[in-house]
Amino acid sequence: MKQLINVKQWKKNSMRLLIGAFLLWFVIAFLIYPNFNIILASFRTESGFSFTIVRKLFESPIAMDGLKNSFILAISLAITTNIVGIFIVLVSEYFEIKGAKLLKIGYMTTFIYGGIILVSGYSMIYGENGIVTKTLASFFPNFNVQWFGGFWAVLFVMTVSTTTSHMMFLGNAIKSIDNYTIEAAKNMGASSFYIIRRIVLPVVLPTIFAITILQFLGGLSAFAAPLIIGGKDFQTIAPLILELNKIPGSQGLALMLSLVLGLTTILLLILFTKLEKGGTFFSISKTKAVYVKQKINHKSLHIFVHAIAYLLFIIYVMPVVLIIAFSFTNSAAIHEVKLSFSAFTLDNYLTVFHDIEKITPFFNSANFSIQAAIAVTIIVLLGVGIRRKHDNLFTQFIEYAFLIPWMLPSTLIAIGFLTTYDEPKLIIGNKVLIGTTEILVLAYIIILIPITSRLLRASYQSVDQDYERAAKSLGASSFYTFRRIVLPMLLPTVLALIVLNFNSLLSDYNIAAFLSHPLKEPLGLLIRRYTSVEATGDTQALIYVFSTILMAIAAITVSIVYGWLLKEKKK
Amino acid sequence: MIELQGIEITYDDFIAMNELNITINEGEFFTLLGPSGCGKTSLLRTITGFVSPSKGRIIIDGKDVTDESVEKRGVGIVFQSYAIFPTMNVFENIAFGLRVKRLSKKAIKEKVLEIAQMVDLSEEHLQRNASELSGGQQQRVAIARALVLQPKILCLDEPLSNLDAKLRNQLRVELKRLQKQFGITTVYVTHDQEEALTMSDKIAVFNNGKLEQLGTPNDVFNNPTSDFVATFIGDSNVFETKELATFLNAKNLSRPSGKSYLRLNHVHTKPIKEAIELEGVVTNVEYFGLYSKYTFKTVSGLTLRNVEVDLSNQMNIGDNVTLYLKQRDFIHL
Repeated sequence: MKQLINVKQWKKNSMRLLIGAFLLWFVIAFLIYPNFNIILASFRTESGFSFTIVRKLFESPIAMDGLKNSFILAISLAITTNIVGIFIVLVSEYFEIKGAKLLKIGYMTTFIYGGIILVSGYSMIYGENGIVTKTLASFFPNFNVQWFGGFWAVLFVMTVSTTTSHMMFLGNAIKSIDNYTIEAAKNMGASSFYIIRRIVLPVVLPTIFAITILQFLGGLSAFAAPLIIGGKDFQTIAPLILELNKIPGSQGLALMLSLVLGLTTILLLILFTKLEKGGTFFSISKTKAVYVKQKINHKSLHIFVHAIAYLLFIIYVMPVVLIIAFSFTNSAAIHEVKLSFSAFTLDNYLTVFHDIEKITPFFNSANFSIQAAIAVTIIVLLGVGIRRKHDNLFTQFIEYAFLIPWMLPSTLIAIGFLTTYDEPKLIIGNKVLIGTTEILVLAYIIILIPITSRLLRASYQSVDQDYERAAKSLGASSFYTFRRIVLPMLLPTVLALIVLNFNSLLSDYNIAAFLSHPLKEPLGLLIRRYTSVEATGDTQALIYVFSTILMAIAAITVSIVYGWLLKEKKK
Repeated sequence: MIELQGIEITYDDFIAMNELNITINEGEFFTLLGPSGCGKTSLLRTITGFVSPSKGRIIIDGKDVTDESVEKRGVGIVFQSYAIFPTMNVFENIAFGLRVKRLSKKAIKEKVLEIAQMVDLSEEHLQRNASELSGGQQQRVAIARALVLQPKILCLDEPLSNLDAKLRNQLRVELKRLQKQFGITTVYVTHDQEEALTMSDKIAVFNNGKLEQLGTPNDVFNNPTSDFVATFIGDSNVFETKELATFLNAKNLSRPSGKSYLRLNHVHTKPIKEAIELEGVVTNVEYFGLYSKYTFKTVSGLTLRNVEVDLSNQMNIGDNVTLYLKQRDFIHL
């Protein structure tokens, strides 16, 4: 009997050791080593370790311009997204606006598309062949059809595409304000805008600060927008890193730039964490009054706010509507940018689904995304699970290591993989990862780890430990308890994360641009290739078809996750 | 002071208040009492101006303010949550309305200090953050913030409902003291009958959007005019008047039908003059510390409850007792 218990105990311990060893290897091989290697590689020259690369960076006009542009974009974006973001949140959540529900849906279109698809959508409207450009050119023959490019175009597209966090976080923050405080202020004679300035905004200020930092970081590491519509005059760091990395002899500069990007990100995120911890104003009310929308009593202001709200609605919705509409038209209509019933066709979809070559990138992306989405969930479940069982230095280390990629821009992670695993390395069994499809999946896993870990941990913590204790007291093993008790309780979150992660990777361009296998082109690269100026009506049709499919998948994802999985959990 | 003439409040098809006519006199502590959903808060919000009545007029100091906006009515409000602005300190909270009125810095400071002293808030309290205040201090800040604007009327919406029992009793006394000190006309909303009875000059009892009774605390407690008031305020023994006549063997009851009520304190276990005597047995004892509540079953089959303040008169379940009731203590409705 005693021997049997010993065997059981040994099995249990060896299982834990195995999981611990795997997690340690994974963290070191893919989270720490590649990023650490960038720092070393940046300063490594043929003659040994040297800081000449720093001098080279300062002497390179392209690099300095890129840095300057990135910071200008980041600062401008932090201002413009706040103006637009706060406005659309006030319109959809705070003020009594006619058609607010419809407006809100319009403003939330950024939830279902982003990155390369969004940028291609905007360039389709405002670009050289865009519907707005063509309309303007027909009225003004001397109109410069290449007007939509450079800093202002990038800023415009990025402003309207990055208000997602405002809609997500600021909207909730405003809704959680105690309505009594607003009524109290009104009772004392404060006007609508005085109340916004003195009561509403101060309460949500920490949220605004946090969003601002995220916007700043978004601007700093912007990729798709400056790449496609920035033009030669407005190059920012991230696309520049991609370019420089391809030029022999310039890789060092690319590394340096990614290092600057990484360090700035880390500094700002430290600030972000401080703000997140320190400044939140919790409502001190014991009973809050349910939030009631406010009327704008000033007549001309009422009209003005409505006009701007609907103008923004059109700006937000137009790319989505046009992408979907043009995906059902023939190439002539796309080329002419003219919508008509006679041009309606399902051919584009039939072509995509019948032509193996055309649909392959979609399946490539789907394949990589599902692999990464499932793998990251398993790895994080192991990490979070072991941390719950054993609260010690090792498990804490794993938990913090899981947050590392959160502090690093995806460009840096990609470069880290490129510079580290381009030759056989002992830590991965002397294999070379460059040129394999695994490297892309691994990079995807890495970028998904922080958010997956945070959400799964929160969900895990909400499972009462008494369930596990009860199962243990009834004789269940740890694994059995996990499988039969804990996992079913975590299941909605696990499924939600898999679906959300899958969706977020499907149209990825940023990582794929660096790490994709030449024969296994992912969808993001295909769309980028087709979004060039030379693209014909046929190829543009393909972009629209893929974009429509991706938006449909995203919309389904959002409704599955928020309408079913996480809703069930709330119940 | 406040006249509510034919007030009707509706939300779509739902009638929250039905044709109400009441007058609130100057300096009075007037309580709107009733269960949740009876329309009392809607009425308070109509007086303050947050809700517009679908019918009727609101007259304050002889002036029709029905269509007047919230801030122009001269009505101060203390909310259920106190609604202390969380991003401002105590001083800024109290000064808020004065700043809106664009008073000079000096005038604001003087007024805030003056009112703070009156509600027992020290200068140190004024610099504190709103989140550092206790429930009692929050209430004083909310009252000071409303009173500093010198309103004609103070409206309080269940300000004690979220506090623990001890603090509630303490603040009840303080609130009444402040009201007397300022002599301000006060409209107070509560669902707590004890609060209403102890603090009010007058109570209006509401049920389902209808005024059930208006009177002094003594009136509504001792002379309820409806079944609802008789059961909502105070604890009573309730009987069908018809069956009561048989049980009590009393032939001269004024009305043969309807319900009859007898307050618990009117069921005696010690002999009193001119009483009806009923033999019974103790079936339940509830001990409350300062008093006990007993349930009896009489030989004639009647169930009666009483409250016994004299704790020397302890009884146990199964004890035989003689109960003494006076016929004039019965309320027949």
